[in-house]
Amino acid sequence: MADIAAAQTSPARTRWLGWIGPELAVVAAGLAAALLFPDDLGFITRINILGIFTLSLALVIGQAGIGTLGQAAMFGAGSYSAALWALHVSAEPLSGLLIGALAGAGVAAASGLLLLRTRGLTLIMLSVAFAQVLLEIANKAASVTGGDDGLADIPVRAILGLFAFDFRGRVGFGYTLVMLVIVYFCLRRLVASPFGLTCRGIKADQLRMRAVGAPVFRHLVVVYTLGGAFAGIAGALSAQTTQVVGLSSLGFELSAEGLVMLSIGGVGHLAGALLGVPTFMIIRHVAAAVNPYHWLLVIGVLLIVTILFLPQGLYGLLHKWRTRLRRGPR
Amino acid sequence: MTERLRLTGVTKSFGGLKVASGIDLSLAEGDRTALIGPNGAGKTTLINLISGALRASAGEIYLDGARVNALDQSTRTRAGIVRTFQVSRLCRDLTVIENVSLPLIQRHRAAFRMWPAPASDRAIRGEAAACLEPLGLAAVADRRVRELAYGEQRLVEIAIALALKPRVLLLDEPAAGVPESESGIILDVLARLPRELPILLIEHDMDLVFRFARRVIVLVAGAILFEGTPAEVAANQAIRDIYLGRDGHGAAGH
Amino acid sequence: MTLFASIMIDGIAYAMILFMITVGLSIALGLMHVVNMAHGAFAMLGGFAAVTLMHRAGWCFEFAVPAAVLFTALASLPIERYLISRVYRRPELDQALLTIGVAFVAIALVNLWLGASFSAIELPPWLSGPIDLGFRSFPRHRLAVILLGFLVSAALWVFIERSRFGIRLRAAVDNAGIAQAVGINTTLLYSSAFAIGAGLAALGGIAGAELLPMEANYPVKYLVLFLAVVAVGGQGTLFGTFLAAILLGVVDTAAKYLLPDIASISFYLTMLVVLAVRPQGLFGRKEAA
Repeated sequence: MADIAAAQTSPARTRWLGWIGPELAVVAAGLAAALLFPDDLGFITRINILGIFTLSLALVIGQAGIGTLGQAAMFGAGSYSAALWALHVSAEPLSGLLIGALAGAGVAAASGLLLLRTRGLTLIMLSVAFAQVLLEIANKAASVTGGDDGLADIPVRAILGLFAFDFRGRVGFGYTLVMLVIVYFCLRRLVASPFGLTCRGIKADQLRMRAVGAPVFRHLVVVYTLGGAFAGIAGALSAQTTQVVGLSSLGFELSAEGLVMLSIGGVGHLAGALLGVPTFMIIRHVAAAVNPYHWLLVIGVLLIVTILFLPQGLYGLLHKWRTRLRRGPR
Repeated sequence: MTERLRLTGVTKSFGGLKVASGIDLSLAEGDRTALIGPNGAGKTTLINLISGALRASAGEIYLDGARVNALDQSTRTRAGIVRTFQVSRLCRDLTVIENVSLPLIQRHRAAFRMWPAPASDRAIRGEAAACLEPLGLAAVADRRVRELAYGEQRLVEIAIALALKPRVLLLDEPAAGVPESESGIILDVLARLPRELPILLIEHDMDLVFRFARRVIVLVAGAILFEGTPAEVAANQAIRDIYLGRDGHGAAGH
Repeated sequence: MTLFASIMIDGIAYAMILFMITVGLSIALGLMHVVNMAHGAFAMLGGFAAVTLMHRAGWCFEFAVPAAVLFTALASLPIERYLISRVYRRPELDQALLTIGVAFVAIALVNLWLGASFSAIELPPWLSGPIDLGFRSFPRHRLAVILLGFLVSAALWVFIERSRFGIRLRAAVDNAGIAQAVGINTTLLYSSAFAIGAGLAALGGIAGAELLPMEANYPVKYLVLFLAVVAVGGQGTLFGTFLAAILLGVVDTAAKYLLPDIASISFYLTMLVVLAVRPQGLFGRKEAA
């Protein structure tokens, strides 16, 4: 929550920077990446999409403490629903995004009503079970979902009638970058709101929160549903930019990857998602080119080191350096 | 004096184990009642039953004349039954002022507002600061709870309880675990609590009980053994026996 | 009738393998309250160690298997002492992430050490081939697995219920603080229990190599399977894990035989139903809020 004293004395410029500084940083980083690696726009687009996905995890796990390994269920729900919408109703992308968000929210709300009454290993297993059941259903309903082959040639019209998707992926990149910034903006404000603080309280001690009058279960369902909506948006973007959807969008590997990316970046901070995703993706890209098992070794060691020595992840490390730099000149 | 809290015949059993039997209790405006008894007598269990952390097996609980048995813990808290914990339960990674803001957010019904609203946020923060002032916690408002001395943490517990504007306050050993050097502040705070607020206090420290309470309830094995003024309790032979044992070895105190 | 027998025999064999592999995971969860996502790596290690001893060192099956089990149990000790014990008191998420990291490292190391190709475990003559039970003939190996499973379960039960180690184990599962106060060396207890669990997992992995083939991705591929058994049975309970293994093993096998279309869903649906009705698992204890 805003610090009254600071707000009253800081100049307008600093306030404005605090308001959208981080979002501008994301835009700058994205544009820089696109300019430096114009042939890898597809890769960068994937980073943007997974960034949104991991942000949804940062909300659900990092803010509210809901330990889930089934977030892919909402991503996949968003992917498939946006694809089906585009194939059967309308190829207009923004409406597809809305459909994806609703699908993700719906799956989250439905599963959350059961899931969120449990904790620990039970919650983990239930979240995995839901995602797996959804995956098997998608597998069996092949006439609708394409089964094992998935859906392909998903049509996508120009965004707002103006920006048509091109083969080089520039529009896709811009589209996902804009969405990433919008999601980041919304989540940053949510974290700074009373709702966000209450979620952090629930993460810290549920019993304490009940003794403070907070309707804990209701809160958890709401935040889980929100997280599902964002994951659904990420899924929809994936369907629209790659124009294919497969069973892997519902798979356990995706959920686990999201968790790994978030923890490397720093679980407790939204920026952790934005740091962890590119780090993970780039390491995998580089190491896997050498030997697919090498990247597993690197990521495994990175995880162990992070958990044991850098519990706040890369974000914590950067934060420490920044504080040390600030104190330095004295 | 208007009655605020009433228990009639409250009983709780876990299978064959009865932890509370037929408790009848009444708290009116301005009451200062201490609940004492040997370890395992069921004092914290009683607080759990009143606050809703445990559901009573039988009996009725009334707040301001309205029956609250069917309400869960969060709802009872919002209605005004507020308790503190014997071992501090605070959000250790949040700051003191954030901890105290949590109950205020509930009271202001802002818990589901998902965006910052400067005016409203300032109001909440201002009220939180006002809660910390009288307890001497203003200086540590922006420190994380995990960095505080245990005595200060116990005070934050009380600040949170008061921030909820309770109709009834249940204090579970507020001075427990606090070193001698810091317990004086807690006693001061207890003395300055709002006059009309009925308070039920669990304590082992007889000194505190005699200084604070106007009525004492003695709980043994889940049932009320005796109820009276501190002087009456001190003079009662049966109670002395329970506490001091037949041959002078006590069951109470630390 | 033959169908029923087939389902039961295949299902129980599968269940025995699941039980042997996951009992260590359940104990670790109940005793040290640690979610060990790398537990499958011990099953994998057992399999690979046995194969290496038989193919590269030329040992025979009868010696290689116990040696592989022993090796795995010993190898688990430094992993527990230096890595996993450091997250005992940390939140479940941290434990999960650390152990996922360990699993990744294990996969990478096994692959780098043995390469992508790996031979299957060759069974000795007395375990290969069919046995005719009258109505149908079964692979001798499968019946041996069932026998082994029951022997291991019985031995484990006796060990935990009757031996002094077992008493200490049960005390520490029940209440670690009091166990320590009574003088039980919990550090030694944890290491021993962990090693026993790892050794059993190795045995299960070797025995189950036909159903759950050895490959570098083994720990992650079957992670959900192992966790499901523990979650459904209830953590820290021997009987719960046993029953859950039987339930899930038989249901999965039955579905494969009878309703192959929904075979894969049936496993997860069973888990969902059990956990929805009893979140603490079949025999788990309800945890305080």
